[in-house]
Amino acid sequence: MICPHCGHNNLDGLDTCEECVHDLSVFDVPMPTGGLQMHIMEDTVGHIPYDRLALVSPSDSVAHAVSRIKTIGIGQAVVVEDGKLVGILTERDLLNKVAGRELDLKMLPVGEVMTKLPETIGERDPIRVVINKMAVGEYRHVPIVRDGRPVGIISAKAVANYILKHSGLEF
Amino acid sequence: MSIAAKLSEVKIRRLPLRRPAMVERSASISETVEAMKASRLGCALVCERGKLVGLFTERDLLNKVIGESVSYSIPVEQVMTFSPAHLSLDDSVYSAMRLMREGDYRNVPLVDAQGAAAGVVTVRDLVSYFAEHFPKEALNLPPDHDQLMLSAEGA
Amino acid sequence: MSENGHTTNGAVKLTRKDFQTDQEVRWCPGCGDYSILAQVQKVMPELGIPKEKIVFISGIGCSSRFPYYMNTYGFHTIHGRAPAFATGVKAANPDLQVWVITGDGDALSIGGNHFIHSLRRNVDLKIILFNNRIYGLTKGQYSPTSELGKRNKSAPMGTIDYPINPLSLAFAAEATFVGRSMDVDPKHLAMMIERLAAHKGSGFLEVYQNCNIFNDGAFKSFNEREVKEDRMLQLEHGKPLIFGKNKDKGIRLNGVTPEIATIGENGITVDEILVHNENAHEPNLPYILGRMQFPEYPVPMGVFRAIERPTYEQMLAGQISAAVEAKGAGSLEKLINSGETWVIN
Repeated sequence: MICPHCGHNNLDGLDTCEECVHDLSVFDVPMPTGGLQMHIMEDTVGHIPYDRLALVSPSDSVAHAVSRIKTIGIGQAVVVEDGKLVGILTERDLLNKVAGRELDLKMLPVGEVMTKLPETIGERDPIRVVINKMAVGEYRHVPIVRDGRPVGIISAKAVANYILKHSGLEF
Repeated sequence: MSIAAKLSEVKIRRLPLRRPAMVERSASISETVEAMKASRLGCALVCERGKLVGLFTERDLLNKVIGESVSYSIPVEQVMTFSPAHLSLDDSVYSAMRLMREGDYRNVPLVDAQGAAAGVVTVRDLVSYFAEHFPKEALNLPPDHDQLMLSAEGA
Repeated sequence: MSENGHTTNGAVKLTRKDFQTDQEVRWCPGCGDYSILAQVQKVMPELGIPKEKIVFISGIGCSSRFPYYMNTYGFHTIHGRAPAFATGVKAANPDLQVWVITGDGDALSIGGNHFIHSLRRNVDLKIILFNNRIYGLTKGQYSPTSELGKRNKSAPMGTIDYPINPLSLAFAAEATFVGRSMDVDPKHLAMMIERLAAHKGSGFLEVYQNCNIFNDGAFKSFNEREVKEDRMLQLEHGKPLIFGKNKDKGIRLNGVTPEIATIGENGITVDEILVHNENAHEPNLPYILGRMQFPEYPVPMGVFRAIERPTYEQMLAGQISAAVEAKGAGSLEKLINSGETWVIN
């Protein structure tokens, strides 16, 4: 690793430069270099538009939750208990657990169909964390919480649009 | 190569795409739903003699079927999107991103030169593709991303 | 499958969170180990095995911190000896699914012998070797897989050791499952972990893992996203060995030497390209594939070999029950008190 102060070619992983004793350990952490890489490391989740929230409780019926999401025009409901996030009801949950089955949606509580305790992010988390949750965790929607209370939700579509915006291909 | 150059030059066929469910237009909604569950994707391509004629997604399922007085045994062509916007495997990743943004789509069906259904590219495929360019920054994160790492850990 | 998250037999379906512990995962920022941990935690719930039936055993090293981060049974043992512990665990308790997490230093330096013999015995162990081509935990000395001439703390003028190829060693040790993957391709890694989990017998998976502090970019020359398609070869059983952005290059044999052939040039057709066979009884061709290195060849990834043979614990249990049937269940007390004994006042 080349020391930025004196240019000496040090061995990888040294904590200080052999020549000028400049601290090198700060370079061990992934650094923002430029372009899109810098954006995803420094921009926070607040840079991406949040999707609207539909809030339901675990005891609400699936029929009620479905009608709420349709009215708002989105595809998922965030499930809260005493204001705190306890689950998320997504289109995938509806596909896998409700569709095609002989179920009375007015009697089926949201708590039995929702994905419990989904992964969440904070408003000040950098965008790379959201990308990690979506790429590695395979989630398409990640709720944003403040003290356990949902304040928004980020979708993969919004992330893709953000990437496009900062790709340098458009103005 | 910069990200901009990559997105506009890399063809969709180079992404690791998954096989979507493909059903005939006369297939029932419940058959379509079972095929979608098995494919673990959120959409099904509706075809007629191999040619793409429609797209049925989870959003269609939510808006047109669940909680509506619609029977699962009706043909899926009654609830699908007719002639959906589509691309070919040789279009660029950039064009897929633009189409998704313009149409607010999550799934874009792909066709070959003869109009036969050839697969689907999803918004998650694009985010994963992008993430693979930044392994250190985006892929290799601890489960608790908030933890403060004050130094490189040693013995 | 299930309704309400419960499987049809009433047991609760596990999720990735069930396999995470409350321990702070302390690898360096940007370390490839995070990616491997995430994929293992993703695959574990899919196996349908209860947590108390899974054990992770490790030796010493950065990789060997793994058991602390998995909410299953685990052992953090001594340097290089994880396969020995694992053999004991599996022989005594064959119901458990035993994973061994080790590194290039732990398994190939001090642990070389245990590594060879656990594979040779075909004990049903799933060995994942995190190969970062350096000693990470001890801060940057060269390891048995470090390249010749690499400058580092214990070789300031460059190493004079020739490195060993872990796959070649695994073949020599008669491993019945040999695979390779890498930390930067999460989907492929997840698939390999699933295959390793399903295999019955000694399973070995080498994972190219980036140590961004002490050996950053060791595999970048071929596994970076832009060049991956041209410089790596995906192995698929029954399919020809084809690689390249346009899927136009293949591997064929010239005698016993592999060579790259471009399909369509000089009359070369796809029929001349080698077809991969995971189940071949002798590992001759997989061995040749395992030796292929960048830049002369594309680096192969995937399952090189997967064959079935009676496992050690199966044969051991068989012998024990045969002996009991023939001679009756023994008594240790009687054995100790038999023969010539003396009482000492």
